[in-house]
Amino acid sequence: MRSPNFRNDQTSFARALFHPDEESPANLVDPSGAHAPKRFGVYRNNVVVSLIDNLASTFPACHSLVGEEFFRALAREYALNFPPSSPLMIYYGDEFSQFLNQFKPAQQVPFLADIADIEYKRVKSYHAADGQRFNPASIADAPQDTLDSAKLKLHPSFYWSLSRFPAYQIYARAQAGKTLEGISFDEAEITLICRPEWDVQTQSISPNNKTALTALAAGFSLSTSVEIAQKSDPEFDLQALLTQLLAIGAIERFKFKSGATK
Amino acid sequence: MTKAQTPEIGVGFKPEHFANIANDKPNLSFFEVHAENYMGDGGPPHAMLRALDENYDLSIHGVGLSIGSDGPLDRPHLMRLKKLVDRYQPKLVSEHLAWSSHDTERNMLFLNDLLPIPYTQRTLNRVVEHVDQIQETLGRTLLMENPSTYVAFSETEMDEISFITEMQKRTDCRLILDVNNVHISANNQKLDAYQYLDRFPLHAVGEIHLAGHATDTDDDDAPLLIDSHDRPVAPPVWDLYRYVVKKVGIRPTLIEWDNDVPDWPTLYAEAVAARETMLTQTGETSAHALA
Repeated sequence: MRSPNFRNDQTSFARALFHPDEESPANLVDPSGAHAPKRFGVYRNNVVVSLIDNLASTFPACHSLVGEEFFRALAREYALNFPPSSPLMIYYGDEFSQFLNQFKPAQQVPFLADIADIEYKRVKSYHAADGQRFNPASIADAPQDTLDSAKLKLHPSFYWSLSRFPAYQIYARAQAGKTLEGISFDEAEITLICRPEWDVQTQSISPNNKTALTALAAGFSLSTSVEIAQKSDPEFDLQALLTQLLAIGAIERFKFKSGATK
Repeated sequence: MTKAQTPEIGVGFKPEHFANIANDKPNLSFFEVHAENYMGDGGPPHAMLRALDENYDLSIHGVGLSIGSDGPLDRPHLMRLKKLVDRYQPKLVSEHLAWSSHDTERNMLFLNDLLPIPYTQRTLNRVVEHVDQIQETLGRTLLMENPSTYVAFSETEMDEISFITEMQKRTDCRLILDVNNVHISANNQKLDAYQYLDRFPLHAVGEIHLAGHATDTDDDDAPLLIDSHDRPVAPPVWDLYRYVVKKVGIRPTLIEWDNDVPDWPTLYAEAVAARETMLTQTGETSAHALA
């Protein structure tokens, strides 16, 4: 974990903010010149509470899954150990999922880190650059062999998240305020995340798409991606994956070999 | 007969109000946004800002430049602000007399609050240097906001007004007079808010802020006011606003409400109240302003 190591003049102030057990800096006083630890406590409280509130708004499903008290305790622990390193608070929480994976008390809810991964990727998708909507006419007359060698140009707001749990189903239930009753927790799931227009969309697909999705995202052609995927899963069906990617707006266009994209 | 001046009234924009604003086209002059919330690459934040920009002036209010930092300015962050300002060409660009980033040996630490600075010659020089650097980079005048504070520093060499007056003179920046902050700091630092306003360099005020505050207690169990932006503007702050407006005349005025954000009609009612106050105090009438 990162632990702040301060140096210059504002050091003692910054350090004391994150160490509630330590005394407030001696140069902080009230108008009469008396040492004023309670007044300093306002800053201490503001900083930590603002970070916890920020995490609560970035991770609403995690918050609803574990409840207010437990979530705030986890968030406080994260805030004290992983304070923001940039003024871009819209992106705060980038290590929250990894933190939940490693932090013992969070492991009572073994899928929590994966839900946090989905939620953080939703935030990145929300702020990602605007992209193009796929035009089906652009491939209508492409010959099969050209299509095979095509690569995908994915939408800038597209992310995916693999879980050994049915993370999408859990996420969706939590967001709808429903219980997890009836979910079989040993099913793995891939969650697709994309913002083709205004709203960020999430969709689940089978985990057997993992290899092909990795290959396509890495820039391999359709045919090569299928080849790689079929090594571990001879039944792998690319058509089904492409249909799902198109449905969520994850594909901007097919890039054809000649360099001319249709 | 001279044409009546219309008070420029704005509110802090919250995405949850976007649909109301798009439908109602409220009679406001400007919306203010926190710069850092619009530093992503795209998506709804920019779509909303572009839509607002079509009908209203924009004011970009930074909360992350940490101008009061002892160390150098966060250059990449300043460039992000420049990109945003260049893109939207807002009517106003502002920041705070405070610090929020701390450069440790390992990495940058962002504290997500507007922290106080001691008023010394050394910090003044540093702040002036930073404001100059920002104005030079952005190629425009920055508005600097007076802070709300909960503590004082034993090393203080001058009072807040002397510090702000000198900063303004040396950088030729303009000022946001946050009247709620004046009320808060006056209570917390045991000063007279009206005397504070009498000494404030009002000629340089380019915008006035109004917001709500909470009440806590200090080490002696005396009331300590907290700049919470989570409720309506309090009556004593409206009194100070009337006093200021009587002195300075019509100035752009903003309602800030950042936490426990109310529904749109509640927020808009605060803006209407600010307009009415400004018209009454400056001797204009509603009929003029709406004409």
